[in-house]
Amino acid sequence: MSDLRQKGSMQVVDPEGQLLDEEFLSKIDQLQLVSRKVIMGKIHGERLTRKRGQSAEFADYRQYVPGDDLRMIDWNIYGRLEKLFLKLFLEEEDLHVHILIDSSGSMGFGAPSKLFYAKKVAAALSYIALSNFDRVVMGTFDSGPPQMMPSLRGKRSVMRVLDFLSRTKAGGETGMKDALRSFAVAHRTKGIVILISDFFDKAGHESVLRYLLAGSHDVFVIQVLSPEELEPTLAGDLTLIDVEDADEADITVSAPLIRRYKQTLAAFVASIKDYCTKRGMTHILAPTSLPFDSLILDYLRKRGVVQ
Amino acid sequence: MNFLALEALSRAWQTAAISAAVGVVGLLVAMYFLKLKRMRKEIPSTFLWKKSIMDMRANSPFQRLRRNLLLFLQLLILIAALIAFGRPAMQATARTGATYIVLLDNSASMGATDVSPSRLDAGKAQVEKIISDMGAGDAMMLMTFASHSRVEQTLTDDRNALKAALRRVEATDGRTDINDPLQLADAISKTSASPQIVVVSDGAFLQPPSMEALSAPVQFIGVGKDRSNVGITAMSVRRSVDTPDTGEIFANVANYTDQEVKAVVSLNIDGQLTDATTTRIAAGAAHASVFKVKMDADKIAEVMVDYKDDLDADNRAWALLEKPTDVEVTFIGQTDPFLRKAVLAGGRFKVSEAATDQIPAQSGTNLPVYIYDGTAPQSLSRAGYLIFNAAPAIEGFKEGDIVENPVIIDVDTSHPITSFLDLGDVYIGKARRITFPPETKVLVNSDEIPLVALSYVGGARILTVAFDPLESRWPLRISYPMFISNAINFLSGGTEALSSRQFNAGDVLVVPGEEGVDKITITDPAGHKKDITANVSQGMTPYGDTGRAGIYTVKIGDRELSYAANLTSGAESDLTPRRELVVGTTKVSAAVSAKAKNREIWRELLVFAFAILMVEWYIYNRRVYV
Repeated sequence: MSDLRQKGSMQVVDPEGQLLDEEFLSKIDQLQLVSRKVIMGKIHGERLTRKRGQSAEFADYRQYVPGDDLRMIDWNIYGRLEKLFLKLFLEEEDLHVHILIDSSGSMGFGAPSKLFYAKKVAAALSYIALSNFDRVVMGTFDSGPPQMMPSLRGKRSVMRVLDFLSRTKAGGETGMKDALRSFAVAHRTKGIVILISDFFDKAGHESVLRYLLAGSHDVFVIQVLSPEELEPTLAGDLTLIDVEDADEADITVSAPLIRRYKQTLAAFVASIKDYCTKRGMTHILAPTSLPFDSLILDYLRKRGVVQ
Repeated sequence: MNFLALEALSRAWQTAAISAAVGVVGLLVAMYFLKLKRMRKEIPSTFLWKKSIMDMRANSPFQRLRRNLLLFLQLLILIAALIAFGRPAMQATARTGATYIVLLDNSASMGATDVSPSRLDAGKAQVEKIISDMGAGDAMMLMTFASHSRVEQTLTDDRNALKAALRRVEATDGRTDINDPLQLADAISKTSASPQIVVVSDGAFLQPPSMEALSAPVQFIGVGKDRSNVGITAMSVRRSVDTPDTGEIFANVANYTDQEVKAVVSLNIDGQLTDATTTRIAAGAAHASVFKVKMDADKIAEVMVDYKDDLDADNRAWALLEKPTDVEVTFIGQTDPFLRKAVLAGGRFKVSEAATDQIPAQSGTNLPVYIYDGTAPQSLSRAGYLIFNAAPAIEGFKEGDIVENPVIIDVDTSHPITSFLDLGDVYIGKARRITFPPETKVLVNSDEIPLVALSYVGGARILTVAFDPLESRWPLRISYPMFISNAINFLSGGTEALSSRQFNAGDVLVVPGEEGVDKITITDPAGHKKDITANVSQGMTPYGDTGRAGIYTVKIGDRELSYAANLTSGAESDLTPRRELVVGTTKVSAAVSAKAKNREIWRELLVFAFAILMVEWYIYNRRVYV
């Protein structure tokens, strides 16, 4: 692992800074992504799933029914109770982790940009997943179909992930609908889907997120917002220009308008969270002002994304 | 207020058109400044902002209007400008082009402090208010009056000049003569458009206005509210007949307050406290204090009343004590025995006789006095002449017919020669009609002809009595020797009690001439020195800047003379504010303040709009928002 750290973290550097550093990697080495759903992997992995299987990890007992593998009968219990019980073991499987990053123009906003923050989160989660021999599928999207990496497995693939991320630039309009539709069609394997975006999509979020429901994935929605969006510092008579579609809005900044904006933003975030909660998805609001370490080590752990 | 009251006069229309044009230009400039230049700023997405704006508009359509300070200020500017275009005025009846002739009293009584800081200042404030309220086309002339009137500012519409002239007005210790300024104001009003005479005074006039009517409306602004005053209203010095180096000072102290007062009256001789007496004076009464003084040297006596009241000017009075000097009196030709006796009764006169053609030369410092009885001099020198029943044979004088039984109807009691003379019991059988030169002062007048007159010709003082005393009962009356004594004293240059060197503040001080001296230096009571050019040909020089009471020192060559100027006027000391000005049959009630006149306020409104514009511009640049 140490050789990988030296190679990966030190060599691939994003234009805005280093995506992962050595100190942080040592902190997340012991973490793993958690899925609350029983997810079937394609090949034998290192992850204990809730699926009963052939691993050495004991899970439960159940009564013998004809056709069961006789090798699994617990003969000690039979000797004591004269009843046939099967000894069940947890199956160890690999997990498909899909990470989708919004790379539209709006994500380039802020210092550091929301996209950079999203890339760091994606890099960290990829590292955690790859460290646990999970299968990582990384993709970015703006208005068209997502740019997907081939699925990766093993720690050595971290380098490719970082390389992919560092080449991702913000630009274009947010077109989540097309992107997620393409993703849903192409990736039917159950797994974890982590969607990182600011959700500034004028088409709305409801029509978009429902595509993630189709595959019964365990979905985590991380909404990244910059402090300037949460607490605007605008003043005066302004013409606001949308970086994505050059749409203009004339405003005269006043205290009531700022109040109203905050109310609108809060309602916007709440509506996404509400939509997600009702459909079994996990919504996480991640302001870029929140230190990245805290997000991964505390914030996501508390919300059950990693453990 | 009558807003939107446009003038009907074409001039007013022109003014309105110019105002409107200026206003429109101003508004355009204002609009240019107010043009909103929005800064362009890129943000991740506009949809949240747009939603917020839509929400705000939907929830409260007037929210923006209510909270937008800039819009509010712009509306304020617009409203002020629109109102200004209507030329609003402060009163309903419009009148422009008025001519104000303001007469401001600056006599001694206006120095009273019953209104703070003084009546004069209160009056000036009222005049300033009128100046400020002057509209377009209004003009004003500012005059002050006390003993004599003075034009402080000729007719002008320049408000700054008027205010500057008003600031220069100072209080005097003079008496109040309202007649001269009223006559002048009346004369000016006849040639002015929409004239208005404004009298600002406390109404304490020496004599009421003598005019029958004024051709312009009069506004009387009365100042003063109280009458708390105790002051010296008369003062005189009398030399003892028996011992000429002693005398008595009489000071009449009057109480114009509403209760009895106790006051200390003190006498200072050359600045040293010499005598003092405590007197009680009933309300409205007067008390004469008498001080015995030595008159063996030239001294200055000052009488003071120590009582805290509203007017300081009448609490002090001055007199000159002069050592007795001999006067050379010469009888020319035949004189009657009564006259000789009367002259000799004076005691201190050096009497001699001479023939008509043998006039002796003068020897003393005083002027010699020549007495003619029935004859008159053919030429004059620098001397005093007392002439009975004849007129000098020089230009200006002319003897006329004989008038039978003239009746004395008027005696000038203010003149040293005729003061304190009771001529009521004098019967005159025959008198001569004499024509006098123009600068003659008639001291005793009859129903037909002047009886006693004082003329100045060159350096000579000529006192003419137009009748033979033997043709009257005058020689038998006590007033006769008194008249002779007063006359000789006055003609000789004044060494007697009622000196010619004592006068009322504000009156003209006549400085005697000195041979070969053409520069006179006068030091006023405040110590200011002023050089004037002596009028050598006239033999005397008038000096008018005598507004302040006190001692005036006059330096003529090597000679130094002191003159005492006093207020000593009951009319001035009585501070009772008058509530009425009566001119002929017209009575004008006193107004407390200047009558408000129609005044246009569009300038103020435009200034206000401009000020708001500046504030708006500042706020816009500072980006200060609610």
